[in-house]
Amino acid sequence: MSETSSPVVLPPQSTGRTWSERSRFMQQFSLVLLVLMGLSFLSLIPIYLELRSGPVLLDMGITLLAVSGLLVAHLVARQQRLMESGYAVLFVALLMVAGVFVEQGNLLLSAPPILIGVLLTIITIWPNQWGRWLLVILFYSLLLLATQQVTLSFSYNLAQAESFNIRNGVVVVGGLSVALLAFARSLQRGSIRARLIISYISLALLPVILVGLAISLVNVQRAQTQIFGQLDAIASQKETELLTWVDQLQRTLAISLTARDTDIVEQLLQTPTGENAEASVAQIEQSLQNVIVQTELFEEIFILDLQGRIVISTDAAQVDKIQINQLYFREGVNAPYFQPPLFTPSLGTVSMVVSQPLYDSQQNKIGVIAGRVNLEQLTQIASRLTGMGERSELYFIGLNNGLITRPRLAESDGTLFIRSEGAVAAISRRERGQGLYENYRGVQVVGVYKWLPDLQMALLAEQEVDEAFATIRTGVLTSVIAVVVAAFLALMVALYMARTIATPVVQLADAAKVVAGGNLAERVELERDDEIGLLASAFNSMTGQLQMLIGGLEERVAEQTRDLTLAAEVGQRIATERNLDSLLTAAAQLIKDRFDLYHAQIYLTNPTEQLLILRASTGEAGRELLRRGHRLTVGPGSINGAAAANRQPVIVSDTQQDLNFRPNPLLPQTRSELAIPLLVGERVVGVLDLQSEYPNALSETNLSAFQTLAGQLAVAIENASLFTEVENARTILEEQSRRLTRTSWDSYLDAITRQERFVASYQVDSSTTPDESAPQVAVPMQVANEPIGFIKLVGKSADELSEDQLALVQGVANQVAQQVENLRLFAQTEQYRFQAEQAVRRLTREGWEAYHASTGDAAAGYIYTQDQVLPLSTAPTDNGTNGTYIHPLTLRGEPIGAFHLPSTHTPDDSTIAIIDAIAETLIDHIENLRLSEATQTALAQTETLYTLTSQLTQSETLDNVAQIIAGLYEDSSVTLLTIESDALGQPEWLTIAASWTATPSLIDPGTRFPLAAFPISSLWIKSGGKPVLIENIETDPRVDEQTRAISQQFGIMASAYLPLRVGQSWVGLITISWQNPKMFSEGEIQLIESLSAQAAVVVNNRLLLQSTTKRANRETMINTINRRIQSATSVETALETAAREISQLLKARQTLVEINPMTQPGS
Amino acid sequence: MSHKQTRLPSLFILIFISILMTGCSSSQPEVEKTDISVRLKWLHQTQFAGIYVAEREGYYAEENLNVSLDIVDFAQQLAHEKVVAGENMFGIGTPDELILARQQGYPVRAIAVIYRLNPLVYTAPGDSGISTPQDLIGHSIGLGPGQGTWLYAAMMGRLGIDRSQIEEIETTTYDIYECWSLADACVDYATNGPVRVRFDGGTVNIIWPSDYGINFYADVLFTTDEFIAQNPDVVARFVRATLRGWNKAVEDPELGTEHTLSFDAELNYEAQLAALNASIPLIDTGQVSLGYMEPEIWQEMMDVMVEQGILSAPFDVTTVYTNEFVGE
Repeated sequence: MSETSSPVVLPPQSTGRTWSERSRFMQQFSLVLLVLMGLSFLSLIPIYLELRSGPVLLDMGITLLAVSGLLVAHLVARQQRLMESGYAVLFVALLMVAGVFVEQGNLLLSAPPILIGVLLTIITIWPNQWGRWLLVILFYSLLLLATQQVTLSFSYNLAQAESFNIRNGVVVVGGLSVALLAFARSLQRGSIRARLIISYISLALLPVILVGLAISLVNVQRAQTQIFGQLDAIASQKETELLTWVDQLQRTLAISLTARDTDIVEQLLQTPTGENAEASVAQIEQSLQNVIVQTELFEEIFILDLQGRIVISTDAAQVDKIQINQLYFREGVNAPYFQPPLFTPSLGTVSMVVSQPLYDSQQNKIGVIAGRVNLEQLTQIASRLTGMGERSELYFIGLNNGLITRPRLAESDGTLFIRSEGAVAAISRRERGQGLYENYRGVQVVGVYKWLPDLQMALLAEQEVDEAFATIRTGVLTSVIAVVVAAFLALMVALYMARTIATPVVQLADAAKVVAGGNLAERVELERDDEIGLLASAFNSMTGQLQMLIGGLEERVAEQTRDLTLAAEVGQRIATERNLDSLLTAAAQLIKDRFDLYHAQIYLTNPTEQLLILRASTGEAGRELLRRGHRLTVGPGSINGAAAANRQPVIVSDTQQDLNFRPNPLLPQTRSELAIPLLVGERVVGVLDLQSEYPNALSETNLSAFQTLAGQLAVAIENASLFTEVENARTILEEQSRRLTRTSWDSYLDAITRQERFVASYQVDSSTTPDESAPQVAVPMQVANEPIGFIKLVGKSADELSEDQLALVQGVANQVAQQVENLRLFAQTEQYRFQAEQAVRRLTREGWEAYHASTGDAAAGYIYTQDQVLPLSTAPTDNGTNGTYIHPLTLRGEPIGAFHLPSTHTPDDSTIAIIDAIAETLIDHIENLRLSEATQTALAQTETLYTLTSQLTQSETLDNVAQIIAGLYEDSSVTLLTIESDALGQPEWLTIAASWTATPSLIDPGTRFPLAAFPISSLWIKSGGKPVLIENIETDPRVDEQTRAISQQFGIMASAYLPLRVGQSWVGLITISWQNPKMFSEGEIQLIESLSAQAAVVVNNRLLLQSTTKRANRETMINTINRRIQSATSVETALETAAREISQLLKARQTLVEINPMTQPGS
Repeated sequence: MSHKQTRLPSLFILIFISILMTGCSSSQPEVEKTDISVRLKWLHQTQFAGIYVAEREGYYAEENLNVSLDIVDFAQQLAHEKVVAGENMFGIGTPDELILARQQGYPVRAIAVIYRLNPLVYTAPGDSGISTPQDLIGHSIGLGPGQGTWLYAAMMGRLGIDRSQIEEIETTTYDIYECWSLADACVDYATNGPVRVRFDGGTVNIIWPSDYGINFYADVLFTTDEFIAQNPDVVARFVRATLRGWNKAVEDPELGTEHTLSFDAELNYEAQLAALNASIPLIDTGQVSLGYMEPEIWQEMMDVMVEQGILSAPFDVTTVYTNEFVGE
């Protein structure tokens, strides 16, 4: 195949098979032909082996070429190159015609396949081009006919080869199988139309073909029998005729001599040379001659003596010849004999002789009388044929296979030797029979052959096959015509049925395809009564419904899309608004207009989110509502309130059907309403209220669009608010900044130079003093819009300066201002830095001091001797005396320690440098360690705090709280007291609410003490809520004597008092006590402070809960009592019930209830 | 090709090849050919056309015979000597030779007759008025030695004609004109002189001995009893092929002449063809199929030989010939 495959150009398609379908057909078709051609080629091989002639090789070459051509066609068809494939097949068909030329095969066998193949090809490659089809078929037919007329020299008769039958068989079987296969496949897989047509045709054709075949076969059989019978009859008749003729000859001979003649002959034979011998001879000769003339049977009659000598003959030349060795004499002397044709050299002819013994009057044999017969007579007998056709003949053959009679249908000079099958059978094998064979003229004949033993001849009656089977041929032709007509009719019917059945089905299929492709408007126009009509109408209805459904859906989608688009548009518009009010107004108006609503308005929530304030409203009604300052409460009382409260949109599709709807008199036309909350996160910032005058105009369907809008609106509102906030903040910031600049400059001026102002001047002439009265221009210098100074130009007035000059001065002024500001900032920064440094140093010092204090009995230092490092118990006291070199360790300028190096002399510079370096590293590292320790400690504390906090918040009872706090310190006891405050909010009473002690408590919970009982309370009351920590009760001066005594009594050495305050009110107090003195670290202090704050909240909550619960119970109880009282039906019962209930409640032994209008309470 | 298609052609190829196998098995195996040699009676001429035809047309080959042909050995012209000596398996000879040989103890046997009618005739110019033996009375006849003479004697004896009334001149020439210059009538072969005369445009009268009761076969095929006993099928094949060749030559004399010339290209085609055409009636008399030998004729021949003193004593003539190879 070509390397560059050209792009497949598809021709415009009409109805029918597509290009690829046809290509596929060509593919398969060429493949099938390829197989058949291959088989044909293979089947030529045995023929070649048998005949071994050049033409067979040529035939094989042609077949091989055809095979390659078909291979090309197949491969090309696979590449969808339909036309090339078709042309290749047509070329192969030409090759096949050439093959027919070479093979001289039977046209009936070879023509149909070629024509069918060509027809199929051209139908496929030129669809619907009837004219072309006709022309091509005509062309090939003419070529095929020419093969019969023209005989090439380079050809051979395929039928001569015995293997021909194999070839025939193979090709026919192959072709039939292919046809069957194609047939079966098309039945299975073809289109409905194809299957219908094929089924119809085969249904019609099969019986016709079968019957036709059967009839033909029977006819052929009968005809053959008839013909052979006919021939046989003729042969028999001829045989009889011949025998009769021979008989006649003999009888003629017998009577050719009268009795007197016989006597004369007798005498002559006895005495041949007697007197009157000549005359007698002449006389007899004359008699015999007469017989010849009269009977016209003989050519010569002669009489031989018993020695075989011709005595008398009608042919004088024969007299005295001796024929003793001739069969006719040897046999004829005994009995009448018919000698088969014999060539007599002297006569130079072939002749038959009839002879018989000659008897005298006494029946004594005296000689032989013989007659030579003209062969012409035999020919006449043979040729007198009745009842046989023109192409038939009957002839006789002698033992030498030579033709005796003159042939009827052939010209011959000389003897024709016949060695046809019949002749051989008759002569060589002395058989009689019949058969179909090639006669001496090379023509196929039906022949009957008989050996005639009496005559030593064979009789052959033959009729040319063409003539013999002419009637059969006619019959077969009739059958074939009948089949063709039947096929044609069947085709017509099939096409019609196909049309009525298949076409509508195809129509439906096509319509379905179109619908499946997306076009729902497609309908099928089929008006029929049958199932196809039903199918069509069902299809139409289904498609119609689909169309409506999808159309509806599409409509809705379109609507929604439009809504969303509108929403997006509106959102875009309002997003650009910065001002909140204008934004809201614009939004409401836009929404009303674009969505064609009756009314639209926007509420915003107040900061507490309890109220909805109308901020924008469309139309006259809107203006009125705004003027009134219309507002709603967030809650179920209104649609908008409910929306805000529930954070869900509220839809009223039809106001007339909604019982809860309360129409606004300003908006009478509202028939449907939609309230959408504007949410930012979880916060409700407002509500969008939409109203339409059409019911169901606002419903679930367009909710999503409006929700989108609401979302955008909320965001826009939020943005606007934020923006406003930012604006405000910015303004404030700006103001601040300006103020700051001013203040800074003031302070700067104050701080640095103690001058109120800087002045720098330059004058052209330095000798003169500035003239205050001269015109002058002052250009201000500004920093952050705050003027800090000015440039004054003396000697010039404002109008004397040009724009450029003024701009120049302004620029200079700006630059100066900027630079001055920079310098000021720098100086200030320096100051800050210095201060920061100081602070850091102080922190470092304090930190180290604290650290040192907290380590307590940790080593104050370390001493290093040559072999070990030992901790120092006390700080060394020498200060550089006794030769000790002291190198201080300073961190950020603060001394935190020192190296002491006992040595006799001052170390040199390099040593000092080394020590320096070591010191630096050491300082850095220990600072890091200290910080790290501190961090860890802080972390631990934070963790503890966190744990505590979470525990506290989860605590369910006050006992829990005490327990948790006790958990902080192992050996501590915790007591939780609640505080009751007086009217001024000062603590008055303390009640033990819970305690958690290591030792059993001596004081019961619930015990109530006045504040005076705890003098120590003054401490924590004074501290304003900060925990009071007493590390050692003995030694702490703040502890009063009484407390000390109590503590000693209980064995308490250290304690902490954590007041619990929430806001300004005292909730309670937590005391923690230890048996031993305690050191509180910074971290612990912080922890305890945090703890107290947490605990305060928790305890407060607990107490509130308790009181609430109590109250609730009381209320419930009262309710119950009330109910019971109210259920009483009489006054007595009521009073009784009341008394009983109260007594039960208060557990009083007796309760009196009295009704006496005069009685005062309290008596 | 789709996978579905592959089954069809392969199935077919299978079926077809099996058919081919069975068909091909009918080819004939190579058979060994038998070598045989034939001693011709004379030089190559259309007298032996049948044999040449059988060779050239491949009839011998079809019978698996490899035939070699030997022309007459002038040193030993009697073919039966050669055959009996084993130099040749087959020979061509005349019945009288064979009868005599048989009597002398040679185990020769004729297996087929070729020339049923003896071409030996007595000729006279067409205008001589001599057309019957009786006409010879008072005239001269040229006779050569051998068969021509004692056949003449036999004929005359049959007819009862007094030989003394005819001048018998001994001639040795086979040239008919030369002979006629010497005598009124001459002995000749019908295939020789008369053909030539007619060829030259003249007329000739022929006296056929067969018209007068002298029916002698001429050329017969013969072999030895031994050979027949040991190789009967070789004999049968040889006879069959030879007769087939002769049938062909009789049917198509031109072909016979061509094939004759293929053995000796210096022969004259026209003459040979004429001779063959003249021979055909003697070979194919139309009465019986080629090769069959009538016992009556053999007996007659022996009787004549005895009568003429050629044969000293009669014996069983059936020992001299056999029809077993010619059918019928």
